[in-house]
Amino acid sequence: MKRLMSLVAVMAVLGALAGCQNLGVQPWERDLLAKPVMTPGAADGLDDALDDHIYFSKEATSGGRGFGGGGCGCN
Amino acid sequence: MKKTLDRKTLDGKKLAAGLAAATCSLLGQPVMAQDTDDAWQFDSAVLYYSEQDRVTAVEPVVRGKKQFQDESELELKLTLDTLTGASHNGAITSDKPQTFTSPSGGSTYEVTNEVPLDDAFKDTRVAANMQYTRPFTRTLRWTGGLNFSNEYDFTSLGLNAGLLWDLNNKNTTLTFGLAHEADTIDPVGGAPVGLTFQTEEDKTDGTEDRSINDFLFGVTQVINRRWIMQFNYNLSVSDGYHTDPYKVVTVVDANGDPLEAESFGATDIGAGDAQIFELRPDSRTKNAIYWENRYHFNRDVLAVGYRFMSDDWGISSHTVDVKYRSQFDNGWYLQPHVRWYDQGEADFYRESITAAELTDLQNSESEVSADYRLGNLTDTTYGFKVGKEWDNNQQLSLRVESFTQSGDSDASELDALITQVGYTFYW
Repeated sequence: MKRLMSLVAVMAVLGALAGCQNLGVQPWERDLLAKPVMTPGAADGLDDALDDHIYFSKEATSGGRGFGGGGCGCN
Repeated sequence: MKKTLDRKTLDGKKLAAGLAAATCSLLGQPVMAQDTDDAWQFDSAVLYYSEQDRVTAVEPVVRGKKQFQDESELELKLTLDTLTGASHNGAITSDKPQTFTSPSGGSTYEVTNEVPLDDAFKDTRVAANMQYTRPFTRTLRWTGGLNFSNEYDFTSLGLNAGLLWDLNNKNTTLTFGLAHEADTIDPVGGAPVGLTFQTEEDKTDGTEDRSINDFLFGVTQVINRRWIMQFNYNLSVSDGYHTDPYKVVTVVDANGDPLEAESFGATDIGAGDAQIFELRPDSRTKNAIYWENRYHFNRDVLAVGYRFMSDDWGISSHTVDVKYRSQFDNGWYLQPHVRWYDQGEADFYRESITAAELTDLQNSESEVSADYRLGNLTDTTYGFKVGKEWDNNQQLSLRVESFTQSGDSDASELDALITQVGYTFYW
């Protein structure tokens, strides 16, 4: 059963990637995407890192966006 | 290399910038104007975080980034974090007096009708991060990083390595990452033995350790000219000391009033002193998925993020984060931000315990914590950021946000103000 689940998951990922081939833009259509504000994870400068630090010390959840990095004794 | 060639042969500022933008990789750093190509980009910020009646933090950060001729990139970051104020010690809020020992064991304090706070909260944290990314084929890049963080009672060392793989004409990027972190905890006054009465000061000398291993898999996908999407899966496994050495759990009677330590044969230090040290599991496995969308309207940009986390402590959480950047003339922008967070409590969370429950916990060596951050919690943050970007790519911004926490206990009711000034320049 577990193997079947894994197989389904792998097929789903491969299927999604195959689907991705039909998405996207040509290199000359990247005018908007090339702006810093369109870069996931880096669009807001240091805001995300500072927010992650605040919420890490106030909530039970961290991670997801990237690695924690740097650690903290506050939780 | 391609960028340099284009610039040489075409010798047109606008065209070169356009081509640089066109060849910019998906996960790479923002394309910089021509005159900043050889410069270091510095992002600096000072965060001022202030909770009503509790913690105040001032956090200056500076980050330098440089892209080299071979398209490799180096990033260095230094963070200083100064904390002062008071934090919840874990005990219930009661109209009966409660007595606590300070973390160092040197003194006692009494609280009535208020959320019990330990006001000896004072710390300075220094953190340094380094990340280097380098392409080794046309579509593959590797990245490696080091992290160091130190505060009075805590030291953390971390390293990470990752692979970035561009597919589908750079419209898809796959990210594989591994990280390891080694933490050393050296609590003030020693590490308490969990489930013992704090009046006994039953603590062990020496340091405690924790290690964290992270795995990250990410897909970044360009949907169309205006829309980019990122999906991450993060597995985090930590082993070792997870207990908060400064938190207690109140032992209460049938009316919910704090009991006396002496009735359990422990030392008497005052009224309502039946407070035991908390105890958490020695491992934690977290699974998180994160989904981010960025959509570019004619001028404005909408960013929507969602995260789901679930762990083997029984906690699950949802986070929604929405930003809308309104772009004005002359480089000015206004960016409202709303964040909503909701978590369910850990299996071992109790606001307080009865004498019978304490006996059961001690007999079964089970865990318990009254830390409100492990209880049911709903947080909301709303605010805005206003910024101005100059033609030379310098940027100045101000962020003001209101953060509110709310949960099952009085201790979870918290209001804070987040203020941040940011400045980006090239040098």
